Amino acid sequence: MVNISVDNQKIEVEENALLIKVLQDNDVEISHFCYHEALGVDGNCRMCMVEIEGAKRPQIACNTLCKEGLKVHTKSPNILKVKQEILELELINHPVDCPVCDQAGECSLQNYYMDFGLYGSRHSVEKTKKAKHVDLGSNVMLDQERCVLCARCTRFTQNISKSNELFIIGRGDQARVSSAPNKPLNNPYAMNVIDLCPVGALTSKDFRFQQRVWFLDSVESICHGCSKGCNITIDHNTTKFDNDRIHRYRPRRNMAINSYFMCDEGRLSFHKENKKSRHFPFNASTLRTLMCTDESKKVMLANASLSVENLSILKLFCDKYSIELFSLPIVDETFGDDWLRNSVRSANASALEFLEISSSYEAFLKAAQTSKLLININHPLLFENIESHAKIMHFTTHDFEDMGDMRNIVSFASYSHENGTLINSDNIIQKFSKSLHNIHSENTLHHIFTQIDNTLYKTQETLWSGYISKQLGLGFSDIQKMGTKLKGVNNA
Amino acid sequence: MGVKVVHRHGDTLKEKMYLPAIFAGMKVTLSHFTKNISNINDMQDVCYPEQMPSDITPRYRGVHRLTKRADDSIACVACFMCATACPAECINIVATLREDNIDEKMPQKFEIDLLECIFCGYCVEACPCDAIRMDSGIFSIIERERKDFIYDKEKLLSIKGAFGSENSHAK
Repeated sequence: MVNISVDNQKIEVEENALLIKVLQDNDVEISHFCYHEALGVDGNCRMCMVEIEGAKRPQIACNTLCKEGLKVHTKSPNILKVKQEILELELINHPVDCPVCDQAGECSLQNYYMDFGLYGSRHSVEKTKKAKHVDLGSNVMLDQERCVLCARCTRFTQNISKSNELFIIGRGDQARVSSAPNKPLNNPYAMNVIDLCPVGALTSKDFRFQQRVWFLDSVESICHGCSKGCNITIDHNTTKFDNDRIHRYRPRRNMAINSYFMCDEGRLSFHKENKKSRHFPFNASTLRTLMCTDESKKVMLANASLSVENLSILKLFCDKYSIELFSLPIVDETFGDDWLRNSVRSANASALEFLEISSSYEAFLKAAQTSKLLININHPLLFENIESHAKIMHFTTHDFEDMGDMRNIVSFASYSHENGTLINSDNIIQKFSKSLHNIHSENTLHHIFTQIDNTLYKTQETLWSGYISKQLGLGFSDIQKMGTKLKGVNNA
Repeated sequence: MGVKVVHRHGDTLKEKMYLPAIFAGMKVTLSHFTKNISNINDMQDVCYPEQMPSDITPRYRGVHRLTKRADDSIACVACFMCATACPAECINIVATLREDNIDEKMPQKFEIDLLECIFCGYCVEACPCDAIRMDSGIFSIIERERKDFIYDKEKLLSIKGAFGSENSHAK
């Protein structure tokens, strides 16, 4: 450990730590375009200039290593002047079309101009024209005029996705990002370049012109696309003229799981959440008669993407009324890879073991043959009508094909409507939060089953203290913000 | 993120006390009052609606209109600045891709609910493209049904400016 001083404040850091990382970790504002924790140092944008005592000229913080006694000034008048001049250079050929740019409101160029730009234009000749809307493929739109050539996108395709689709071609004011002819951006993680781009050069075709970002409310959540459990931010909003709708998912930094990224399929999975399902209200007494009083054999099949809380309440309910509970994780071998995509497409498949819920397909089929009533909790297997003579009662979040007798359907809130926890494929338990508020928000699975049986745990807090914490070996308040690794079932 | 500080008037002690300004205003009011009460038959008034007001100036905030560019295409680029500034939230914009190669973005839908509008003029101030103006000179809006007070894009484009300058002056 060494001592350095930043703006006259003493900080103790690891020797040879990157100065820009130290500044970021200590909440010192440091402007930058090209440096990114996941992509490493490039040093081309020069925006992270700091003054170092003893050095002749301003130095870039992203390529400075911390040594004992380093004295750094980030806000001296000289540095602000240097940054303003670099910014002026960046903006010489920038089209300044913020009104039509989707990045406006979360754009580094805009922010830095407001921080230390605020100069009048000295530019008197025509600006260089480049391509304005190039479709790079994979939902990515490129505007070469807005680009600051930080090379984050090209470094992503070279070092992280290793698909090498993007390059910077040309020199001087003709330098621009481009893909090779007839080789569009084509990899399952391509849309991450949109988040990486600090300006409006790369924008999402999916989100393009949908909303201005300052109208969006952000909620921290977990992607339910597979059992990897990538951390996401759900951006949604209700306007006076439209219902509560999700507009995009963005990956959220969690170095233990997804770093800064997520796959395109997960990113676009919000369209399914937005799809309106019809509202099928439930009648607690009818359901009670159907599921609790009848003595005949009953089988329940729960979707393994349900939260730990919902699976627990189902487990308690089924144990009490001797209903056989199964949950079959959905496995898609073609989906998985060795990074963020997991073949197990059910987000909470790892929880089944902790909650002692059977996931045996054969046992389920055997039980379903002889049962009189099948209770389907949002599992796609039963939407496709497997061969069975039993009556099927559907609890569903979305409309499905061939809904048949609508009297046997109850709609309930999907994951974006409620709080919950998930256990991912690495046994890391994480919380997600409620984002959407609409007609379905009231009808959570927890609410429905506590209405059917009033003696079950009424709230998530009592459910956790009374049941889940015993099963998992930790309490709700023990779960860290970035998730907590659970011990295996046998050690718990 | 940076914040641009705009210095406003009203820093002096005289302005902070408010009272001098109140008395100055009262002086005007009282001078009119005494003038009118001494000569009650010669008061200036307008028998509206038989007699229309003649003092509508270019600064008057009438019904909004959407301007066009010199090539007769819509000037609005659907940047949502007016909707962001609007305190009554009466502007409903749905943006779409502009296909005519003049710009990238345009409103697919642009509706102003004139029953909710408070005619503050913030939308005009906020517009970076000089695309929305209130220089129609129309001060009286009469419709038969509530839904007719929601002026859509076509209607707003069809309203003419009353003071000469027709097209958007944005560069």
